[in-house]
Amino acid sequence: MNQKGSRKEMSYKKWFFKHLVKEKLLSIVLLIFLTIYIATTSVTPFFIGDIFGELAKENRSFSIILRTALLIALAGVIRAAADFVQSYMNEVLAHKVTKNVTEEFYNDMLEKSQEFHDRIKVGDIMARATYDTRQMNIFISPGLKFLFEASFTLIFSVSFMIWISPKLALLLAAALPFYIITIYDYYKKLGPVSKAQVEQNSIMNIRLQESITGIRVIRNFVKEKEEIKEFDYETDRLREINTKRGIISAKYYPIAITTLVIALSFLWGSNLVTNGNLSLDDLITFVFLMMTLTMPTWQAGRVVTQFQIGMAAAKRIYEMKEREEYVPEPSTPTEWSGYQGSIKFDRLSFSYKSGSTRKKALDKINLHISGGSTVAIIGNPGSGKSTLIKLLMRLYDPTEGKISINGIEIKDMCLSNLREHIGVIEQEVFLFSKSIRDNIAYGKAEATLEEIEAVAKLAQAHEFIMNFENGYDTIVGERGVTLSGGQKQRIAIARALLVNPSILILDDASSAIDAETERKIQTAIANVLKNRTTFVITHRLATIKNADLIMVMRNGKLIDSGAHDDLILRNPDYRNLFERFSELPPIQIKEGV
Amino acid sequence: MRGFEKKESYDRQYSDKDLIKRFFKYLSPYFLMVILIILGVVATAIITIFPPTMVQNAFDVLEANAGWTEVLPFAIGYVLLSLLSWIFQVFLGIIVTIVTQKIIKQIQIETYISLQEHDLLFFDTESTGKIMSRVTNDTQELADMLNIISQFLSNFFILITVLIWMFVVNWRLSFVTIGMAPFVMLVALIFRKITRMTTGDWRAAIGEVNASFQESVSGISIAKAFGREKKSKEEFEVINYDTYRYAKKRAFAVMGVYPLMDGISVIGMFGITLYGSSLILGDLASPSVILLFLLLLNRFIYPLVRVASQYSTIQSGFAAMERVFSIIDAEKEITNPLDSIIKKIDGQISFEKVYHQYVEGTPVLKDINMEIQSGESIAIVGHTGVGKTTIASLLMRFYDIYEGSIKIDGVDVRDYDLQCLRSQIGLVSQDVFLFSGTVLDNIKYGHPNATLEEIEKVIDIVDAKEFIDAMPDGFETELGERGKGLSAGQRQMISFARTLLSNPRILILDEATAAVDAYTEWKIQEALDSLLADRTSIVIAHRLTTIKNSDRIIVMDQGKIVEEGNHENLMKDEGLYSELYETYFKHQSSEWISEISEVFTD
Repeated sequence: MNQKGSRKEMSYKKWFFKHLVKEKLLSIVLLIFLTIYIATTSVTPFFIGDIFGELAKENRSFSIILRTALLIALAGVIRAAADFVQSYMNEVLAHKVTKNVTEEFYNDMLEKSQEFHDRIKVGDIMARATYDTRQMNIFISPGLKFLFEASFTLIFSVSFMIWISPKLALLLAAALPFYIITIYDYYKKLGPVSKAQVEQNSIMNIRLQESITGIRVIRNFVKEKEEIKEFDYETDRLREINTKRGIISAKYYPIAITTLVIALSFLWGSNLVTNGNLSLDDLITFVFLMMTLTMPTWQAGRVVTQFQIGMAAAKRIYEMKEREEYVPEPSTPTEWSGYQGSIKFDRLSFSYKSGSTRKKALDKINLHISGGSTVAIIGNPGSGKSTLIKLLMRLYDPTEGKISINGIEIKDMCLSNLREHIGVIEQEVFLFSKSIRDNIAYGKAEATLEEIEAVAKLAQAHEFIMNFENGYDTIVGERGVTLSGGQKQRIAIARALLVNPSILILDDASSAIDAETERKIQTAIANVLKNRTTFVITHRLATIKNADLIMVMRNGKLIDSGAHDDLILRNPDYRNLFERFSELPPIQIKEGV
Repeated sequence: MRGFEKKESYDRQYSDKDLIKRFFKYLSPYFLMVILIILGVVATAIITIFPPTMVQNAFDVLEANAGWTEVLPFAIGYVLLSLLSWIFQVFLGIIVTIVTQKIIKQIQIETYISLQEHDLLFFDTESTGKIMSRVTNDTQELADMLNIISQFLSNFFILITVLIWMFVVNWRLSFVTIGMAPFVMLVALIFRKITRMTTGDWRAAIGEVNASFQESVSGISIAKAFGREKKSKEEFEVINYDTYRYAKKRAFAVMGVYPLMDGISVIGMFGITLYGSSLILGDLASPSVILLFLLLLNRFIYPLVRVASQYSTIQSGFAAMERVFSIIDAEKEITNPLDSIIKKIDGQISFEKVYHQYVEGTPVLKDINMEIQSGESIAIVGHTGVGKTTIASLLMRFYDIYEGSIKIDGVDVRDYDLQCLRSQIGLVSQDVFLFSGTVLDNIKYGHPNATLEEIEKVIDIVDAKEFIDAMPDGFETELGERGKGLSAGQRQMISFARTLLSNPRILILDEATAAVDAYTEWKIQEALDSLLADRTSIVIAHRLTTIKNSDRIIVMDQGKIVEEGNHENLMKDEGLYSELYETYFKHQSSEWISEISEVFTD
């Protein structure tokens, strides 16, 4: 916890910088070659000046010119080689940082609580993982490359200029404040627009994704026109922002100062030459040195642009990363003990995080469940059945009270250790875009094909899997074969069975499977997971009737619990549920009996 | 070779001529601006050569030992011309940005509109990520082409102007620069080729990273449930590292080209000084000419490099164009008929010899004939995959039938105005999709102007009041993407309410309450009775409770109607229905009711 706390105080800039300086060796090599590159660049004007000096002489010596020209070529070759190494290193650095940031972001997203993922849109996370990391990458290469080059060029050229003629260099010193002011002004103007651009881009992506995934509903309600109107609005806003940004960067004006400085120094230099204070070849060297500054002036503009976007992107990634929504891990975890799961709910309360607290999702639940029993949880939608299961898996932490398994409070267990022992089959099955085999083996990658087939048979899935052309290698999910709800559920059951959990949770796991198949599956499960604690959330009455313990829930409260035979006699609510059904048309009672 | 992405079924080939024509169509509204851009480009190119010439002249003056005041006009000329060139570039930049952004927006909205009109079959087969990438990335790339074309033109003109000027000033020395051209072009082309190859691998790797990331986040609850985070992280690390590896390879090509050009430029410098000096020794040139050539050299080489590489960038822009246009042009079968019929539907439905198949050769519906009277309530039962849902989809005209006809009030569904047809049929389907937004927004989706009274009424009918009230902000509770945060049953109830609120003439319930518990479902059924009284309704269900109220039951098997009638008659026939009843429905009532009778007769 302490560590997390200190992380929060770190700003996103520091976080970014930390990633950048981590690659020490790369950075050092980069800086060495950068120095060579800029030094050779700044030396060339001297050779050019020498040549003109020689040409101005009465008795020109071609051999001196040849020697100087060869020096130019040599410096040029060294310069090109050094430039290549430093550019390459910079690009590698950029990708390395991007890789590390993406990985860190990914890991953080996996660790975020379920509550976080319930609220945050996948599109939003993805925009940060893709677009924003790319912007950070561009800021480092070529952004930082330009920054380095510009500052090194400035240092070298200016030193050389002072060396040639301190008087002449004064002019540049006079221009420096103008540079700083204009570049800062540009930076200020671009900031808000860059931020707006990154955000609008993300908004548009989310809208687009939702309208593609929800296309059936849009068709169903004939809302195409409204959707188009809204999308039109969003794209138009993006266009406005992009245009505004484009205009600001087109109007980048520090370059005008450079032009002015070159002309003025030439003028003043001419004055010095005519007064005999400066040689003509030195003036030429000086002018060529001035011209090496043109490029950095341009680059400064791009650096500023990319810095703005890159930092806005870094901020977005960092902010999402830093939302404190982890389920905290214990510092000294206790290992799961025992085979079966005896469970104790102790004054368990929970309310979802949201501004106003209306009602508790769970309210002071107390119950002891002995290991190996089958527990049916029944109640209306919203009565807290699913919340209870989520708390058991520690997807959320209770607001009050605690849950213990085999006498150990689940907060004291390592998260992965706890969840390894709990198998859950969800109502809505999510399959990955992988083969059926990989999907079943999801929780136990080292499983053999025999094991996989065995659980598939138990889940009554083997038959339909074999009917696919590629059998267990059939790819499913968004990029593969479309499965029916029942087929998906059976794969999910196989997936859960393979890990051989100590506690099994069936969260309405067979709603899309017909009764007969379900019965087969249940018999199979009962055989395999003998003496495991099983939770069943179901509407199927036969299942409820056969449970060892029934938890009747209403409005977050456990209103009663017990076996069917007891409940039907003592609990009016439970009986009420049955009575209601006796109102079914009499004809069916006759048919049934 | 065009583009690296794998071809999709809807991708098509366009000739370059078609693509250029279409691109010009987007440009045509900005005709005046385009003319301005071209003029600006030519003007800047011509101005380019003047500042160095000013320096050259000033040098001449100085060399002749004249006073510095004579340098003054050239210095002023240098500043003014440079400023003029800068102003031109600012204006060019602004105009190009405005036009580019307008065109991007235009193409994006056109793609989006076309997506809204696409057949559902398109969305059934294409992945969301790929479609999205076409709307966002490819349109961007397409519009960037305008920028690149203007740069291409600009560089091209600069190149020509500089070359002409060099030739005019000293034709002998200009051959040194001309001689460099082929080398520069060759190197640029080779590097471009390597870059394209390595970029392809790199992009594919990025695609893998994105897909893996997206899937992990979408399936996060599964990863958590199985305690699989560590494994996922390891897997991701491998894919992510691959991208880095490809990026490194690509960096070699991308970062190699400019230093190499720099090297070539230095050789040019070497050639100019050497050959120039020998010309001076032979009195065929003056030192100031060498100065001019050195100053112009970079204005020759860099445009040359860019022209060579931008040519291929334009090529890949063409590929992006092709991908975007493929989406816009993808065949749409379901379109509004020319003389569409708009009228109030009464609700009489007839299927005449309807055949349907999604995939050629695998029929889903075979010879379906049925008459449904206005106000009648029918139930369709059968095993999974017999085509029940297809009947609903065809009625909504989500797909067009393969053979036969479906008529509503005697008019073929293909003759109705699509909006008119779909807005009068309400479909509550088994796959519920909710939008992010509040609970209320979702319920009001089909009828945004509904009054609170109307909303409360439908909420009552679907029995959702209790759980909505229990949510943190009640009606105003924000739902996550796709209604995350609600259970499947709750989502179904909201989707049900959403459809009821739009007050359709024909109501189709396709397993509408499969995830709702039996008790709630029974309550919904009771409440629906009065609501359904004067409407046609089609109920597709697994559960007995949902079909008990229907006037007629239609039993389907392998895409055909095999039985029809009411419960008693069908049971008497001892056909498929009675079989289904034994397996699917019976335990839901009889077994359980006998149980109750036991309890209550105790």
